[in-house]
Amino acid sequence: MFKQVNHIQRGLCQTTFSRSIYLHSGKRVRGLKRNPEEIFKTESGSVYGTTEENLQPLKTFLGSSYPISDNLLLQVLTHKSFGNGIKPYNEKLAALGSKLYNLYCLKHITNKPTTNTETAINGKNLDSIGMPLPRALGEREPLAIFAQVNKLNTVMFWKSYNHNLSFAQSGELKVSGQMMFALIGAIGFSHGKTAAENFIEEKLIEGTPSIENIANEFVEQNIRRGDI
Amino acid sequence: MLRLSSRAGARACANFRSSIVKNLSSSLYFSSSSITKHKTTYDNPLEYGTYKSNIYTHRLPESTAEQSPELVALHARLDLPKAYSLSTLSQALNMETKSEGLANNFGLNTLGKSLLSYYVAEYLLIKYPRLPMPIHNQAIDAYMGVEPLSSIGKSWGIQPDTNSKLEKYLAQEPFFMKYGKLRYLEETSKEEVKEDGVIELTGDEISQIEQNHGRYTPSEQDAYAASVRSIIGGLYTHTDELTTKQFIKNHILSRKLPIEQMFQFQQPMRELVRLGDKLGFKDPLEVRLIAETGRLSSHAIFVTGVFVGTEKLGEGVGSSLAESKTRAAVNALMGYYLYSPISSDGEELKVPSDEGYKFEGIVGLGDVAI
Repeated sequence: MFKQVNHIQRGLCQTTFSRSIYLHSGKRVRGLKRNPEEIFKTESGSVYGTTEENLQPLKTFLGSSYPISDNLLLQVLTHKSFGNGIKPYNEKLAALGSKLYNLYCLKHITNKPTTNTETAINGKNLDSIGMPLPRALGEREPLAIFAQVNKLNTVMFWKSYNHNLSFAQSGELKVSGQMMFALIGAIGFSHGKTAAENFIEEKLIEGTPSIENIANEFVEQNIRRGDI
Repeated sequence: MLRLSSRAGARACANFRSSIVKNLSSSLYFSSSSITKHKTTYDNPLEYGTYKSNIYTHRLPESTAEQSPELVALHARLDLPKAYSLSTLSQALNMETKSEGLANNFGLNTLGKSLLSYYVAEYLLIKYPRLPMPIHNQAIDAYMGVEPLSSIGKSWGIQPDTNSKLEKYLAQEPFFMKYGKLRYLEETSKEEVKEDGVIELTGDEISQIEQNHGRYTPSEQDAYAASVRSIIGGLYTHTDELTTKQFIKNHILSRKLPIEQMFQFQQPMRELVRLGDKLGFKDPLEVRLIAETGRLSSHAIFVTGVFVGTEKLGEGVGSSLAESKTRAAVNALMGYYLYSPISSDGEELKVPSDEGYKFEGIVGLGDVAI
């Protein structure tokens, strides 16, 4: 609906057009703009925004050692699938976080004291690289399980094609893993690489349960299923 | 020119058989460590220091590596620190999977790839935080993909070991010479008579082409890229991460990359409108004609600007109104995507791995769906 308003200013006629837009609620109708209050909401009913309710699980997990701004935390929790990607989402954070985490894991496994004197290089045992557990440690699945166990993924802004499916089938596993990479990336961006590595060491490796135990169990499950 | 061997069918069968054997042998990773035929054994999967390969059982003695003039020359050419042993450098050049127990570069390659991935990604994410993800990935590939790393390897003067045992014997080449060369070919393929411009593909290579959507990467290119990554991994094992980072900066990130040439817009105006929505512009996006000349002539020129309120986002010149409008939208998008923040002192921003890093830049908000 268009309204035409005429203003007479210093003898000139200035025309201003204003329009009221209909915001559609309910099922999607092609060509109609949807009501943001309705679409920026998760399946479980959490409303998008930097509210305490949304950010509390991550803030509690981070503690006072690794503070992150509310806007960045909200970006960590937001996946590309939410609201057709119109809100800031965590792809770039995860891009840094995944590389940082992978590098950390490799350093972690190769820098352990070794009994392998024949092929270790300068005390670093590279024979474990590529083996099932060391490889799984750097992947997103154990991180996603870690997020689920620690209830870090209770509020995530994402959209599945079917939220009623299982953790893995609905895509929640992938989104949770990406969220964890993004969290590591956000600490890397905010406090630097060393702080992010300390975070991984303190909260994931030495966490309860440890990410190493989760990865080990994940590998054993895959072996039992015959996936590896 | 690619030619399929007449023996391709037989080879494919052999490959299939070998893949079955591989699949069977891979299960050996997880059985009890008391059986000696295991590829790798360990006391406990979580005790990484106890992993031990039963196939690659030893490293090249330093005294043998020192005899290879090519290794010594490569070490000096790359200005590697003294702590970097020649045996590790030789291991970085060893891609062989069927050598007589000599450790190959698999571990070094993985380590080097991880180091490269992190430092290249960190540099790009801080320097160009708003790059669309496909361009970001292309830029990473342009810095550390197989092709650039392969050409870097060649520029370092690494030579492949292509001579067969017979040729080496006839040329009276000492045995230690090969330890300074890139070893990726099996003895049987070295003996094959090669024809210039003709590449004979194995069954594995044909299936790889199908997986790579018709792209063929020669095994030599792969080997060169792996050797460069392994040399970087080797540097980390002998020195520290800071030295490795400096090496990556000097050899990989120092190369000029024309990122602005990587863009190609299908619907720039539409993309700009969506971007405006994402960034929450209060005023609507407007296209305004700034100047024109010769509208009725055969050489008309129009200057168009894209505005949000009083802010001009981009400007374009074209011989028609539509062209100038599209150019203005592209100009605005390029200005946004190629934005590179600077520090409060006007210097280049520090990256998260730098000493005294302070977050002053921005984090990319993600691409817009068009």
